[in-house]
Amino acid sequence: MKLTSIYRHCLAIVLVCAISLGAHAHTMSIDTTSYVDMGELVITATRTPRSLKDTPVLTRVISRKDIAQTDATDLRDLLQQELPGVEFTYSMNQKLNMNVGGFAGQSVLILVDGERLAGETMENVDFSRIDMNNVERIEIVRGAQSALYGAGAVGGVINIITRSAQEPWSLNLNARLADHREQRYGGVFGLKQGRVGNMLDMQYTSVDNYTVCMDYADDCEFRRVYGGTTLSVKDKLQYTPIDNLKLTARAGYFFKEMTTDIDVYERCRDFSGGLKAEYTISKKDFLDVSASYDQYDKSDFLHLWGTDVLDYRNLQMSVRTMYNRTLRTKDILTVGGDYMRDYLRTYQFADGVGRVQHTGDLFAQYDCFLGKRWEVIGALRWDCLSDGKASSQLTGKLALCYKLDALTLRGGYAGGFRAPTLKEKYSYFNMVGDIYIKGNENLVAERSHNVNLSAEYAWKNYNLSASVSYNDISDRITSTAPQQGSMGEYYIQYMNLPSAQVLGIDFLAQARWTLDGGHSLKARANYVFTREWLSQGGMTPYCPARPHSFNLRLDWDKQWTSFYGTTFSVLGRVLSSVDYETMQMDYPFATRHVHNPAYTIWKLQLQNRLGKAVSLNIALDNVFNYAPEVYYFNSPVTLGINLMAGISVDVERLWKNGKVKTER
Amino acid sequence: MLQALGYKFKHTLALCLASCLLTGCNGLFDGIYDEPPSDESLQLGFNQGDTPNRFSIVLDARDYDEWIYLDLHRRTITTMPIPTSLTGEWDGKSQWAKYSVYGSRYEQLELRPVDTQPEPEAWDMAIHHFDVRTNGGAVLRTDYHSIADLPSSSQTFADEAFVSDQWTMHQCIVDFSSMFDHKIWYQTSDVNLVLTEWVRMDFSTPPPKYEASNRVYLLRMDDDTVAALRLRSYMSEAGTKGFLTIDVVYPY
Repeated sequence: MKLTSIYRHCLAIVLVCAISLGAHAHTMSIDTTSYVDMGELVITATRTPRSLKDTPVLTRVISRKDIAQTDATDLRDLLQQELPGVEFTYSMNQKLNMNVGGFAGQSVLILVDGERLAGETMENVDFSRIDMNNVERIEIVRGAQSALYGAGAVGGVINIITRSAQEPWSLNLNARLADHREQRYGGVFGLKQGRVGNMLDMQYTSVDNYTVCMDYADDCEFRRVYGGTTLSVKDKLQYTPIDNLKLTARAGYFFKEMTTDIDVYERCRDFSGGLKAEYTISKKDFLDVSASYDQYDKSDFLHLWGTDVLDYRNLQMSVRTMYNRTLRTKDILTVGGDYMRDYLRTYQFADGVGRVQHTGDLFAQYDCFLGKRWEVIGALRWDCLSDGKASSQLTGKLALCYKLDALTLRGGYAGGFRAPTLKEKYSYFNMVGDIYIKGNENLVAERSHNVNLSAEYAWKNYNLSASVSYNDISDRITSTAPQQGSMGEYYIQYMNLPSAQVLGIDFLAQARWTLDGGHSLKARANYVFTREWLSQGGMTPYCPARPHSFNLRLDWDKQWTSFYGTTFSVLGRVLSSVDYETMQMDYPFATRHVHNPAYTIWKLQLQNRLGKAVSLNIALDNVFNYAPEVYYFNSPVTLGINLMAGISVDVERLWKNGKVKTER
Repeated sequence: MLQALGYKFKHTLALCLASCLLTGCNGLFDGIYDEPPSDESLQLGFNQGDTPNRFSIVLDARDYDEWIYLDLHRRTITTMPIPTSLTGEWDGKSQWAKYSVYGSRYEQLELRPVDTQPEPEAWDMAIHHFDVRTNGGAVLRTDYHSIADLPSSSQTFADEAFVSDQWTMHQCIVDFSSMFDHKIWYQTSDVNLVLTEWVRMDFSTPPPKYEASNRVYLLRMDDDTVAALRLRSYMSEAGTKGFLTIDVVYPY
């Protein structure tokens, strides 16, 4: 689909929406309910619970209701639907890479309930292990956050908050079917008796391999899409022995199998567990202590031999502690420290021997209120790493927030760093043919300095925000152009690129209207501009960010009878083209120009609510039947229109009275 | 009951975590994985089977720069390097050929004359990675997936169409290093394309993908004796591709 065609489609949709809005204008009434719940508590930006409207660092929340209406299966599904400037692209052998506003997956820290995830492929975590089955909300804070979260939080933090049991019992069963025999079956079972609550979450997914590029004579960067199966089982047990102490134990198992090769199945397993104690010592003092275990294994199941051979293990064990004290009336002092043992054994190490890195840190943050309108927050963190040349890192943060009625102005500076991983330091393996990947023990930490400004206007049912973020990055960790070694072999080596800069501009407009006759309408438009400047000398290991991206979401809701209601949604995303230079993998390794065309994908979705318990979702994804002429690594993985059908049943509501529930 | 379960669960988890942190363990559940023998411990060569004419051959065919010659009559193996340059008089056909490869589209970029491929005095079939050529023989692909299921005599297949080797320009890969840029060097060579299909290699999008046919092939040699061949595996038990295990019945 050419750009003019994209604009034509966008214009048509905007016109249709405008006409439908106009038709309803005479019946529209003002509702003071905002599109987003500005009173919702968020935790990621400050590590203390703050309402969304009061948080001193701009935070984007994807609520449980948004997730349910998107009917997303995993994090990838959800983020690319909900956030412009987020793109999931392939790299070799269809390893998934995330790009968030010019920062690749290795520079964006992904947390689940505040805990890091072990395991990576091409420096990205396994996104498929983060299912959306039992997620309460997702908090996204853009910009460096290392002063609170340490290594890896260079471009931002995505924190997935899971649900806890709230009702005596609850049981949600859900399923979704789509093209390519895509299937998802999930269940969440909650129990709460007195001081004990438990949530058990299970999900199974399956999708076939399929071919996107039929003609072997074209230039497709990938031809087959590898499906496979995943199984995830997670349990969270909470116990409140006394009113001011909450104990949480969790355990999880994840399994994935991909049939990338007919005789070799790629398998991944994750075993995780953790303990957490949250102790409210007094009205002014709070202590949080946790321990976490996360083991991510990769193995090859050799069909010809019937053997399952382990070839990668990353094990992260950590202990965290954090103490908050309220000073004066509202100021909060936060201090804490963490320890992590990071073990990596991989086929990519020449000697096959596992390596260990220990990381310790101390941090302090002071959140200070200056009168009713001003708030200043400052943080400092010292990280100490046992291995390599990035052994000591000091990062800071200073944020200012000014509130004037409906207007909130925010600005600040934040430092970030990414320590080179064990893989980036010690790899030595033959990728294919005579090309080797070499680690570099002399790597230093990638550092970033982020300056950001934002304005947010929340008035009645309208919410507008604009933000600008500029990041100056030094020693970005990337890989060299191919070089010839002393033995005549070719190799690519990890390196520090002297400098890089990323500029991001984000405009977001959200509104909600309640119309007479039980109708309501919600609209959200979000535009993101991204610009990356990279110094010469390295290879871009991922597809750069597209400069312009735009997401639109419209939800029209109508409760027709007490038994039947619908939500009709239009979800669209428009991504501009991107041009960049990459290196030819052929002597003399000249650069070549790559042009990835613009595209747009639109989805229509109808959610039918039957009674209080049942929700039927029917979605038509890619309604304009877009299929790339050439499948580049950053092309959308689609062959055209995709029909999806899903069902969600809140079993306990079949017996209970209660309000109509729209969540999955 | 839920409360008691909660205590038990938490205590078990706490014990696991504490023991892991204190002992510096490097992971749990190792028992779910297999520990295959290392590639170094493989018994390469001919291995006698349960009857005199049945045996298997284990080969290290990982390298792209050599041909492995098998003499089934004498059960010997000889390895010969692939010439990389022209040192004497050119035979008029031995070359290295560089192609731009996009799936089934081959575009010749460069030709480089090289010396003639050396061969031992006696041999029946030769293997280069997964490519196979014969010494004047011909090959039939059968519908059988197991040597045990074959008819008792090769005479059953006497009237079938056996296929001889043919000259190829872009079959025998000798340099993969520009694969990501879709450029590959080949040795021009005779190849038996029927037998070579015992492993299909698709490198249209790196890394290469492999698929074994799992069929039994019959090799009729120039002395009219017949060998039944089945590639049991093209990888070692540790998963290293290029280690071939071939089940053979000869004479069949």
